[in-house]
Amino acid sequence: MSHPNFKSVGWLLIHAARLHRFYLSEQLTDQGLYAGQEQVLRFLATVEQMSVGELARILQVRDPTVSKSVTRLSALGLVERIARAGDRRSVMIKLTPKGQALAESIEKSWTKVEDDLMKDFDEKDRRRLHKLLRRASKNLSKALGGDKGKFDAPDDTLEELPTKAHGHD
Amino acid sequence: MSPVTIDAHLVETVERHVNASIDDKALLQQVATECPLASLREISRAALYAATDVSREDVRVSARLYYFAMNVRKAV
Repeated sequence: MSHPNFKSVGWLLIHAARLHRFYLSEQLTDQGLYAGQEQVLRFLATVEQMSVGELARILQVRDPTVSKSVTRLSALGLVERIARAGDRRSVMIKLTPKGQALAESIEKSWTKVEDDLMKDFDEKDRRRLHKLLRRASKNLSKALGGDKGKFDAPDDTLEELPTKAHGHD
Repeated sequence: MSPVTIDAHLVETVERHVNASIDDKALLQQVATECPLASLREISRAALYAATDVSREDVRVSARLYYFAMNVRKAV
């Protein structure tokens, strides 16, 4: 017997998102991480160092939330707090070599989940789905009052996507 | 990914017994009593799946489920 909302696109989106979250969580727990911590590590892997405030803005959470996460990751030896050059009162966060290695492992996990998510999709299907989901997000954002800062999808474009991010050859 | 499936009854059992303050041992005992055939890995997986329910209002319960899943998995 199917769920009463089975024909609803919104319900399918929620279901797919939950399975994605569950699958990724499994990968993360295997690496000793809790949900959300991987986001901090992934962003720090893209920059040399970042302040708690900058991280909080990117992750769209409050400063104390990031601060707590950084404290836990620091206890695990994955990140370290350092003084900003020229301003010893200002603290920056950076990955340790151990954190860098784990960030690379997380990236592989993310790629694996993405690969399984898009299994048997050709490149055209993938780009179309991406485009449709962005349109759907924009529709909801508009319905919610169009607060770009809170509700809009990431402001990238399809043209910025690699033509083949994850190969299935 | 392991061939272990998500057992809806097991997920429901974990969700029924979990609360923000229950400890791992008590939760595991209650789930194991109701689902004696479930392996630790299956219980861990069910708890992790339950943790991904974004409609849950109490985030402390979600966090509790996540920690429980992780600790049970470590014990496997």
